[in-house]
Amino acid sequence: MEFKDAMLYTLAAAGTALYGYYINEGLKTPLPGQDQDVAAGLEVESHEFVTEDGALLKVKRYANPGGTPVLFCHGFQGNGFEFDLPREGYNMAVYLARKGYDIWISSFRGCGPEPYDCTCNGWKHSIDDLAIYDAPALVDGIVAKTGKKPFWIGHSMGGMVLYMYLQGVKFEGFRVVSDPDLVEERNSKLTGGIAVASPTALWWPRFHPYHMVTGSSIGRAIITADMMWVRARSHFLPHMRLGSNIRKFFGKRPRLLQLISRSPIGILLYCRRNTDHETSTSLLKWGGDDVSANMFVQLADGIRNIHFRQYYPLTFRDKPYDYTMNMGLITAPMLYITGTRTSPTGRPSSFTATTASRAT
Amino acid sequence: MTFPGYGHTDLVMGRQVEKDVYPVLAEWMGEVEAAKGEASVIM
Repeated sequence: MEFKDAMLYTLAAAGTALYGYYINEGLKTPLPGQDQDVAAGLEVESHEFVTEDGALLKVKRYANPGGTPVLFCHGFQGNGFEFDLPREGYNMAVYLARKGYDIWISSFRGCGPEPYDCTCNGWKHSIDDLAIYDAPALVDGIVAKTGKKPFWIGHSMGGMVLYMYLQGVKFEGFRVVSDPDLVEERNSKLTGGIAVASPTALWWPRFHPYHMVTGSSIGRAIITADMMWVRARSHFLPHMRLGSNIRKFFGKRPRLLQLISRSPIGILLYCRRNTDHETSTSLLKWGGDDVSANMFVQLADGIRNIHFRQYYPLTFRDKPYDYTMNMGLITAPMLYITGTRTSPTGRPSSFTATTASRAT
Repeated sequence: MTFPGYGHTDLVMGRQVEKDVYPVLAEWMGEVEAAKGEASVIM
């Protein structure tokens, strides 16, 4: 064996040993994202509300009878646990419960880990269904239980569903229409609403990486092809299982889950340098969930067209209801909050521009 | 209202949310409640 080969083999062996040593040392450290008891002393209740079309919504309550109710609604591919992570200092629901608010943590139809798993009717729903069926069931249910008008705190799609709800929308066949009586009723039924990183339009400034996709003919063709594919598969695969599969498979493999939470998948969700490893692992473990194919198509349609519009089948011949154009119907007190880095690349995005322009 | 340095979901679970974000929400809710008073109760 030549000296050069011997050196190469020795270096490879040393590198492997060192790698193994650090893996072994890493395995001795506590598992990441371990749950903490953050709700000690709070009274926890479980409530169920049935929507007009028969879905069962299970809601977790940190009960503070007498306090003003607060309804939490989650984002796309999430569930209510994103507000209720078992991590000290990162739980918005517990923070407000300790301030005396009566907390109601909901998940939309089809979402929520046990024992707060909600039913749905065959995953045929769109985001419109969340506003037309789920939102009234939740708000009316809380009002009936407490006799008080709740605040609504929505993150991302949870805030968009709030906009849709306050626009008084209802179905007329496949059409979504705004009913003036419902606009008045729903805006007077809430004490106020907080939209956290919830875009009113899906627009990105020029030279932003997303704009390069949505503003180019090739990018738009890719989005359109993706929508067509999901529309086609929705007939036999209406349920898109990303979040629950992550929870099921990686829930028992927290070190791997931590790795994913710091990967490009993670930066689609948050500005990585503004989160810690433990909390991002906990978010994927608890806060991720599934969506329907129709929800995906509706959101992709909004990204392609800037305006967020109703879901519509390919045979639809009317003009789709435009939620972006009807934001002026909202009269309830609103707080719009956003960050300066709400995009995967950490660069300012439309979420900043469109929500900040309406900030109170 | 815009929070410098915050991304999409870290407005809910970022490093300093309990110091930066949550108090702002609580303060705003308190102001709205004070302004509405008994109007937030359904008789």
